[in-house]
Amino acid sequence: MISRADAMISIVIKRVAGAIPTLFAIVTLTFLMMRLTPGGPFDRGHAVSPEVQANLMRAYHLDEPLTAQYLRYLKDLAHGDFGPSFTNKDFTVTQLIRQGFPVSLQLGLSAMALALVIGLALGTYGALHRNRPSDHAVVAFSLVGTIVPNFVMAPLLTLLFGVTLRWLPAGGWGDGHQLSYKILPVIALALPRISSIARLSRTSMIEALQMPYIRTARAKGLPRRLILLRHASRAAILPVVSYLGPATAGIITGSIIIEQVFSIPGIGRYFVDAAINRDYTLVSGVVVFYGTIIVIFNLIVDILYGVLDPRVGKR
Amino acid sequence: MSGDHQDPRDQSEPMLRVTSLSTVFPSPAGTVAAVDGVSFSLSAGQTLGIVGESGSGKSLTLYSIMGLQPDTARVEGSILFEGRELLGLRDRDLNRLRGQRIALVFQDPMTALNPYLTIERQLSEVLQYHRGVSRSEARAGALEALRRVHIPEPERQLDRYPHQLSGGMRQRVVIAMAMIGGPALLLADEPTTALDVTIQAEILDLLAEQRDGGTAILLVTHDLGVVARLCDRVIVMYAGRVLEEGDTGQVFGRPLHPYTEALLAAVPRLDEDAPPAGRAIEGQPPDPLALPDGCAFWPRCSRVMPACRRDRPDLVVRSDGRAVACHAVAPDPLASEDRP
Repeated sequence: MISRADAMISIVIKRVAGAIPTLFAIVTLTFLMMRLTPGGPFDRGHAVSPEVQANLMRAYHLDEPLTAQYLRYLKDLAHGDFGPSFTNKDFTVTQLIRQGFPVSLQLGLSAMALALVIGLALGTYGALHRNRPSDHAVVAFSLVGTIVPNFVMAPLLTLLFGVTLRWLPAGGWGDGHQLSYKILPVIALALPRISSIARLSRTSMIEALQMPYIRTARAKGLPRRLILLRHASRAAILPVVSYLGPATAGIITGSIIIEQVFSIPGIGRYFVDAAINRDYTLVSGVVVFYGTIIVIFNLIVDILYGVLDPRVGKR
Repeated sequence: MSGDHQDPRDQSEPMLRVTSLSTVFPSPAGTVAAVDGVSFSLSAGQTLGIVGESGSGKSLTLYSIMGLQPDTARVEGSILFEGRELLGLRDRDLNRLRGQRIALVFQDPMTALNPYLTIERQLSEVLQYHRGVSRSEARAGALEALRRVHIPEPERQLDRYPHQLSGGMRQRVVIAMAMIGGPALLLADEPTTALDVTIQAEILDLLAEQRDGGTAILLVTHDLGVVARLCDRVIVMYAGRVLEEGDTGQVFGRPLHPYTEALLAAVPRLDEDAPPAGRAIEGQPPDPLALPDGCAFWPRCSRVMPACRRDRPDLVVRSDGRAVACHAVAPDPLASEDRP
């Protein structure tokens, strides 16, 4: 199917081309908003003399006009340089992201994988037992998972398993290789996603099972399992796939709340600290990084859509 | 046109014998029989048409035979296929017949095919699952099935997806899919309704070919022209019940039931003395939740009598082999010769 491959390539080119102005807008807006926020990175120090302050401002080019700063930042970015962190002395933004991202990535991917497996299983189960008590249980579970916010769920989990039962560490990251430290944050991160995926896949599976071509498949005498896996799954998975793009991008770039509650050294925490401390370069760097990840995941979703739905690129 | 089509097996037990078939839905106001006591039989190589307005229960009759009625429905009566009772069979046992001995052609080829799977996959899975043949054997079988429905460039179509085919081509694929297992009985639900007139004729020819190959066809349609072209016998349904049954030529040539008469009069004709648009039947088909007492058709009937509002007429088989459920029609064919 050469024509279909061509259509896919043109989608990818279109998306990548569209990503450039998007990222440019993100960079510009972040730059402006950070500078417009009252206060600066070196305002808080009480014992800093005006001379030292002026030296710092000069060292980081903060004394230059805004346009000059902006152009300098763009030039560095074009070379892949996010600049030095203003508050984490001796570290560049790239180094900080490189430190925090693997932690957030591992946590996020584990949580997403867990959410996908459990969410799809629950959603499909609910759809197949529609309007029976077991289906109502699925719906109730996903409702609770959606409405209980992370900052309530995470401390509750810590309290129960970390403090009361003492089964798992209440926080921290250990040496980075200990599974026990990862269980609670992964579950806390996964729960709302399990709910969303269960709800989405239940609805889309119910819809898919009502399509006339499912009746065709039944008329062909195919067993239920084959009808579900081959005929219904494609249509049912598509809404979940489009949810997965932004959701995965969001979860692997660090959950601000979860990383705070469990004291996990991911980039979510850097982001919060950077925003509070007016660490211009670190905030911009993380935002640009986040934007790039979202663009990449949306592209992956588009490609997956093309693989799953032969009608994409036609019409 | 095909009334003289006979099969030696006609003399023995028919292939399909449906007796007092009722498909009942629970509702807040009690149960509703969407199909109500329908009986008929069909032999190999025969074609039986079921006609009626929307909601008359004709399509549901088809689906009930295959066990594809909605989950909430309950099916009662008896469906004997090749001497075997289908009602009460588990899905697993029904699946051995579905696609193999009994196949279904759906109304809308746009939605009956899975848009996410290639034509080959949708055809060959029938052979792969039921016969356990290899992928390449199944592909060869799929190719052969496409050839039998006269699809141009069949090799090329195998790797295409439904949206890349025209409506007529898709309906050919649907028929190929139904015929690939070599069924003895083909159920067709409005197979031509969604198609252009020229394509309709081609699809009807295709169905006639299958019939000539010995397949029994049960055809549901609201298009009397389709029945006239293809069917040996015809059943007229109204509000879930059979009002008239007989040879197509007799029923259409000299209808007995006032409803059949009205249906025929509603067909647009180009005769000089007929109104070109056809005469619509006055009133609406009844609400299945609030069927009138007596005959379901009496509120719209031109020959209503007091008995019609009281007693529901039974389907009476007359000595000439025709059957009709109407108080206004004499049970004896000789007496009915001089009816107005």
